[in-house]
Amino acid sequence: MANNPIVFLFLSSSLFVLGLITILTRRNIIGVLMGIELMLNASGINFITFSFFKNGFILVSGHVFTVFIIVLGASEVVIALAIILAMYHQQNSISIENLKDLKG
Amino acid sequence: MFKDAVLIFIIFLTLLGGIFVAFSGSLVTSAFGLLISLIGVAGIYILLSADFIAVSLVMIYIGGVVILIMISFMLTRGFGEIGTANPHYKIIPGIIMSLGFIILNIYSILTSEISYSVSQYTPTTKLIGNSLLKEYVLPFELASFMIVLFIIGSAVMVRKEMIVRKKIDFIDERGEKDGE
Repeated sequence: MANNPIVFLFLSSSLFVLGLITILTRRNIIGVLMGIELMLNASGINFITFSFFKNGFILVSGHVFTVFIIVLGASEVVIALAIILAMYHQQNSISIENLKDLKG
Repeated sequence: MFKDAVLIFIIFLTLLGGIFVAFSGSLVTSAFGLLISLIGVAGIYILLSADFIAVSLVMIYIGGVVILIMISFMLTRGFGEIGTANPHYKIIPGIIMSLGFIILNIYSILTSEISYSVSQYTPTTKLIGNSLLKEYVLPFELASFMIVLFIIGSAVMVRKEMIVRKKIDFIDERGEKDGE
C-alpha cells in the first residue's frame, strides 16, 4: 500500500476537497485562510508523490516546487493577517460579508 | 507491513485534522485541527523520502503559521460579531460542489494509467541546494524579493495612524449615508 502512488493521490485530493469546503462555507476570514493552507499542502503532497514514484530515482524539481509552495503559503498568511487586523480595527468585525464595505 | 500501518495512521491523522478544519464550530478547534493535519502532511513527506521538506514544513508551518493564526484570532476576539465562533454559510451547495470536484478527481486518477517505480530513500538536502542555485536561481531570487515586499507591505498596512485615519474616513462615509 505504501508502494502505490494512488493512495497518496487519493489522500491529496481528499485534503484538497476539505480545504475547498472550508473556503466555500466559512463566514470567518481566518477560517477561510485555514482552508487555503489545507489546499496548498494538498498540492505539495501531489508534487512530492510524483517526484518519488517517477523513475527509480528522486526527481528533485518536485521538492523545489514544494519549497516555493511553502514560501508562498507563509508570505500569504502574513499579508492576509495584516489585512484581517486592519479590517478588524476599522469595522470591529471579521465576517466575510462585511468585505463589501471596504473602500480605498 | 510496518510501513503500511504507519501510512494508515498518518492518513487517519491528516484527514481527521482536515475534517476538524472544515466542520468544527469553534475557531480554536479548527486551528488545532490544522496543526494535526500539518503534522500528518509532514509524516507523508517523510514516508516519501522528502526529509528537508518535512523539517521545513514543521518549522515554518507548525512553528510559524499556526501560531500566527492563533495569535490573530486572539487579537480579533471580543466585541466582533463573530469572534471565535466559526459559523457556516450555505453549507449544502458547498458540499455538493466539492463532491462534484472529488468525483471528477477520483475518476481522473482511476482512469489514467500511471506507470511508476519506487525510488530508494536518499538524503535530498544537497540535491535541493544544488538545484536552487543552478536551474531555479531566478525563482529563488524572486521569492526572496517577494518576501521583502510582503513584510514591508504588511508592516505599512497595520500602522496605527493609517488605521485611525481609515476608521475616521469610514465613520464619516457612514454618517453621510445616514444623513442622506
